[in-house]
Amino acid sequence: MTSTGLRIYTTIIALICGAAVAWSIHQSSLATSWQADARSWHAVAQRTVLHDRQTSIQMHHLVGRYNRLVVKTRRSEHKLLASIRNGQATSAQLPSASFTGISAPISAPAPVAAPATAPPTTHTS
Amino acid sequence: MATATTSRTTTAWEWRATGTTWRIHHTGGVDAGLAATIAQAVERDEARWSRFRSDSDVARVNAAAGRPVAVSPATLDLLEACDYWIRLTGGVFQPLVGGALVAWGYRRSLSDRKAYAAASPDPRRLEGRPQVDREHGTARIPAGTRLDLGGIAKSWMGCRTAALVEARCDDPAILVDAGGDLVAARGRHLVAVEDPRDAAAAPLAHVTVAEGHGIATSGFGRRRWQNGDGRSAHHLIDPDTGEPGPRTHATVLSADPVAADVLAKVLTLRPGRIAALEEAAMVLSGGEILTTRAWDEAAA
Repeated sequence: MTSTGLRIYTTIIALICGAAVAWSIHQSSLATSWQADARSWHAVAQRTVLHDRQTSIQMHHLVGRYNRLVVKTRRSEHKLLASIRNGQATSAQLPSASFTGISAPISAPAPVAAPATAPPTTHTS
Repeated sequence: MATATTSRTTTAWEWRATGTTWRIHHTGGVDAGLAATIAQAVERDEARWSRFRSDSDVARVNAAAGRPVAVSPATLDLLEACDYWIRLTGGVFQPLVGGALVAWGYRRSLSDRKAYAAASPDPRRLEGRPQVDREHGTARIPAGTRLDLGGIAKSWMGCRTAALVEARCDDPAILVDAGGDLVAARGRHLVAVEDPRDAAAAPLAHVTVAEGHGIATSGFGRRRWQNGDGRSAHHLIDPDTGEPGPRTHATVLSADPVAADVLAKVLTLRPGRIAALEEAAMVLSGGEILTTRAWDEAAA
């Protein structure tokens, strides 16, 4: 091989090696980027699962509160209807048939009108 | 004098609990269901802390004095608060007066039966502290002593009630009245101080209670009786003597409603301590009214 041919051969080999190194670096960079993306997606997935779990718990509590609210509303309704029924029994002015079969109200606080001019008072009990 | 505008409640729920009358003053947002929930919460607390109920935490701790007893976490919280106040007041606040109260005739709730003892007991110093074991969830009192959580339990319940109603209701003005111990759950409230010498007379003062603050009155006025030996008694026992304390009344306004109750009791037993008190306080002792500077500023 002549010296010119040797130079051309060396140049070509150097270009090929350089391209291979550049390609390797690029691939490594891509891999790092993909890894970062994967970690990010993994974190998002974890947060989503956690959020879903918390939402489920909150929903469970909400259902419980709703159920209790339904029970309380039903009791209040019974109490109200029973009060109306008692009122009817004493006044005998309204028909009582529409309120038959209503159970007695549960024991509950009674509303009182707060005096407009007298503020709440502290005292010994 | 407080210059900020006070809130005005327009209606109230009222029911009997802890041997007294409870009220929730509000502006219409506390419906019957919430009122019932609040009353049930108070009932649950009373079932834990009444010494008159045989299955209460307090009754079980008393029955096993000297030995640890498993109690509810809420009771552990309250007993830790008692321990704190015993230390802070140098033992003037003392919840281990249950035995003395029984000996003086206060054996059952006064709403069930009048207190009476054929003979009053001899003087006896009362000391000690309840011990709380968080790890095992137990409480213990020294052998030979009995708990009576009385006023601190009521103010503690008042705070719990205020937190409950404040969390469940959007009313701009809410005031919890736990039998005369008041907690401003929301808004500023103008409050009257009853004249203990004559409840029908004009109030001794009006003060403004800021949001979250509480006001409490302690004194011998309502729970008093006479024993078979002619000695007058009431429910505020002086731990130094084991006998009913002086015939005084005290009202304290504080950012901590429990502190208001405890300090009112301490001032009733030691009226002279008002001089060192930073809270707004008033003492009625022997016809003389003593106040702190903070009280004069809070009074309307």
